[in-house]
Amino acid sequence: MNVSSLPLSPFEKFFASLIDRTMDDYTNKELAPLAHFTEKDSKWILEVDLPMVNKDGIEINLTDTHIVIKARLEKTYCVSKRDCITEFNFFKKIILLPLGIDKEKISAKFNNGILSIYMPKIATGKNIQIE
Amino acid sequence: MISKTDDLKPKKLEKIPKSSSILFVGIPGPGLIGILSLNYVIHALDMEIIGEIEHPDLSNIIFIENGELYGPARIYKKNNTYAVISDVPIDYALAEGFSDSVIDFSKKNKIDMIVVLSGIHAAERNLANLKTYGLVTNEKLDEVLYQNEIPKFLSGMIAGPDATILTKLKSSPIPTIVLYTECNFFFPDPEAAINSINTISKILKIEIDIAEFKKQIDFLRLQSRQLMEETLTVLNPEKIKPAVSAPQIYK
Repeated sequence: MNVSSLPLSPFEKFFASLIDRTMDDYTNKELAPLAHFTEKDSKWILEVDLPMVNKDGIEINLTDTHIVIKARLEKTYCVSKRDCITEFNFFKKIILLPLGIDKEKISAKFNNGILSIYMPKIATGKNIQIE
Repeated sequence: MISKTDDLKPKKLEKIPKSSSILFVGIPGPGLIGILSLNYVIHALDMEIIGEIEHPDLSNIIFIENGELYGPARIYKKNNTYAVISDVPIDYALAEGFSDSVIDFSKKNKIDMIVVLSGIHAAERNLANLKTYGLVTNEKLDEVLYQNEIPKFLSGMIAGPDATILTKLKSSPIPTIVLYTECNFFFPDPEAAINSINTISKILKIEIDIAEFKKQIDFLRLQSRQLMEETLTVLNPEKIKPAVSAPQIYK
């Protein structure tokens, strides 16, 4: 179903009016999801807001320095700006990884449209004796 | 910076209502709870726009509907219920002037109670058990909380522009309740906003059908991403530490 084909109520019109303040990539037709890092003692938690997405439609890719998240929308999301309609089918976000994490132990969960990626900190190293 | 609060005057004010009245205030904040819930209530109650808050710092955005221009901070009314809603975040510089304007409007319109709608970070957000807490500036309003089964916000910390607004309202003669709904601080949280709508419904003692709102939850999360990002810039959560300890439940 095409979301924008539905008639907009005044309530929806207000939120539709926010699209002019967009952060999305119109050239590559990719929506930019909101993301947030939280630092805990033993790990970093990266949360990414992915509404209208199924777990099976999410790809997470690690590079040396970044994490790349791509997610397919369950429905095409259309944005109409004046006479131009842009169709979006994906979210995409490339995020710089924190330093000192154990890449082999990164894990992820997806719940209620929020992707949580757990990045444990490297906790082993050289022992220091107390004098 | 605001140098003169005289710059912030509501315009096109209607005549003063005869009986008791309530003013709801919703601005972009944690989880966008205030703006999501109040926008829906304005729509559900079919409230009419009666004016707007004018200030040079609010003049960089104009909304256009049916060819008419509207500023980002508007005033709505239906019977004795009023609503002030801002579609742009209120930063530290604007918070004091914005509050003065709300207080000024309330005095002129003989508002009996101001209800500010906001959100509070829930570290382990459980959708089935989200709560809306009430913080009052006047002990007389404890009864309103009790009657409407709203747990009282007993301890914690409020920081950011919300604190500035609350400080101003606290020193005003108009009793104020601030409703803090548990939410995801960093992302638009329409599911949590349902709690806020239900609490408004209790206070007004009217049924507000949330069926339409529920259908649009994903749409709202998508559409309000940019506003959430702008709001976080204003709230500066890295400094204000959203993980405020959970308030005790009022008995």
